Amino acid sequence: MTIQGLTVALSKGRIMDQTLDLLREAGLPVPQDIETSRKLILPSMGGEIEFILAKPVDVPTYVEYGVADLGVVGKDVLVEAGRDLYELLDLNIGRCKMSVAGLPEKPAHYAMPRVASKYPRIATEYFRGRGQQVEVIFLNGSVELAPLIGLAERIVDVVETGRTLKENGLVVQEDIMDISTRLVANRMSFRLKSQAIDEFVRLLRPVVKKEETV
Amino acid sequence: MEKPILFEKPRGVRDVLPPLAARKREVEKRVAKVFQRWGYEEIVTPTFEYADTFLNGAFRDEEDNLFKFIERSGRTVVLRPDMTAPIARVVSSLLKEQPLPLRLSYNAPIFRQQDPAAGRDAEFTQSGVELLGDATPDADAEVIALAITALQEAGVAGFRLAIGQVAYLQGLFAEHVDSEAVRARLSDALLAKDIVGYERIVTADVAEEKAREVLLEVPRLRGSLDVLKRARALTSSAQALAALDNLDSIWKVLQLHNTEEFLQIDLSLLLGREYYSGAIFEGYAPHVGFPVCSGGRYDELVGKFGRQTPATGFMIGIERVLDVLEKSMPQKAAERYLLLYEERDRYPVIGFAAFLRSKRFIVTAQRVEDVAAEVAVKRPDDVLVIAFQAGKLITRDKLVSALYTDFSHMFSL
Repeated sequence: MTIQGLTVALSKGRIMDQTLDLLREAGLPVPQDIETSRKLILPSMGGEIEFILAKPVDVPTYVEYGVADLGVVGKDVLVEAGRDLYELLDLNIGRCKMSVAGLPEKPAHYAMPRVASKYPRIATEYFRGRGQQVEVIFLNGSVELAPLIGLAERIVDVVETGRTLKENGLVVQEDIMDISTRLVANRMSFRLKSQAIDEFVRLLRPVVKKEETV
Repeated sequence: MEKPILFEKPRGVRDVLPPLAARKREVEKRVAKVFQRWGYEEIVTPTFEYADTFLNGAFRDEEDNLFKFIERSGRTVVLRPDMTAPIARVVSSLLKEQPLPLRLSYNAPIFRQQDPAAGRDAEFTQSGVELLGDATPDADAEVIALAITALQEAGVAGFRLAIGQVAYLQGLFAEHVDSEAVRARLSDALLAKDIVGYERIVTADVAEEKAREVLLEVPRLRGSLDVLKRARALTSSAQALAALDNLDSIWKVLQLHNTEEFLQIDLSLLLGREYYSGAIFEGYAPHVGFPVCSGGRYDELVGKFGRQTPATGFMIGIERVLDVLEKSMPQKAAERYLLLYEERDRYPVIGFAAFLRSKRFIVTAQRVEDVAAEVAVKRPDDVLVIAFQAGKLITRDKLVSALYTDFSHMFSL
């Protein structure tokens, strides 16, 4: 195997299990105890790949600074981080949408429109692009709460099944973009470890395509 | 917590303290020396200039990145965001009568307003050259070989340069994509390094199947010389084929410069500056997340200042080189010294060991059968091995060799 000496940062949480399934299906050396271990850095059995388990928002940072050669992370996090990375492959997992949502009874116009989001950059750019002046309020979580307690009329957030929105009495008003999980690469690693990275992508690509048709 | 209000600095600028300042000066000196040896003459231009100099083609889309202020006359002045435009201005004005080709070099602080993260400072130092008035592949090869030599001289190890040709992509896109808007989006995606996005645009917005297949190959046009062959099979555009011929000729000259081992071809390479018109390149070193140098041919830019001349050049990011040096050779001081000697060298070694100990070094003097064999043995990281062979001290540690010189003088060995 020509995959040697790569460090891969994986996003913990929602997409972790699916990511590992894909990597295993592609025949990539995934450490057996990666799901159960509490370690945050795990080398593969043969020492070919080192896996770093990171909080999703930190993955683009790790990869841009080059402490990881490759990263697996959602498009939502990537766009919000605005880092200078190679985006190599759409893994077709973690599919969802970035949407604007709010209460069903929409006022005719907002006097001082406020939008709450975990994604202030995406929200700001979206509304600026549509020529709307809004105040974007950054929240760390439970964004759905904002319209209910009158903090903001609308929210910008990822919508997977829409269940959370529904349970909180919110509806999707506009879709901003499709989101899925991506494989990203550091700029220097893409050059200096091009063979190993090309091989990694070559192994992963057919597995990903299969997922797409399911 | 106390706030050091008085000493707070704006974002993106830094103080360079000793010993880093000395190291920075040293790197700049070495690079300047290489430029000089290759016949490049240094030029100094003002730190700030009229905004028009930079908006004249080069920084049109990057106006937000400029540090601007208003001169008393009411004209907008900016801190220079690069050196290429000022040199183009000088070559078209003060040096108008100077015969071409001209070889100029510089070392200068550069200023850009950008998100201060991951190697994007507001003030940074560039050392570079411009070769004006030479359109031959020999000129392209010269600046590439010079970039390699300068990086080597600066002490950077394990780096690679990727070479591309902007005219190849222009020709290929013009041949296979009718819509100018789609062509622009394809270029933007490659520039943003968004291969997923690029493939998506090709799949969604290019009607013809043959064209789609060709365009999907573009991100894979990376590697050694055989890439040119693969690239040739994808196109019949005269512009694209000429670009490949050009790269081929440049490569032949680069072989004579003995630089192949540092090079790879990447026809999907695009650099941000829109003035590039031919062969372009970017340099990458291990351990740091950003390119250490970049450059290429810009035949149209100087003409915008009134003197039509082809030109090529590059710059090295001095702070980035320092970062590479810092990370690739951690200069941890040795904590223990191991002096290896054979019987015949007993005389100076035992004395030298005592001399070192008197200077508070921890020193082991070890007599062995065969010094050469013992040197090859792996030791702990904090042990510095010093070998004595045939009355001579062999070490790369500057401190120890300096001390040995002192010792030899004292005892007139």
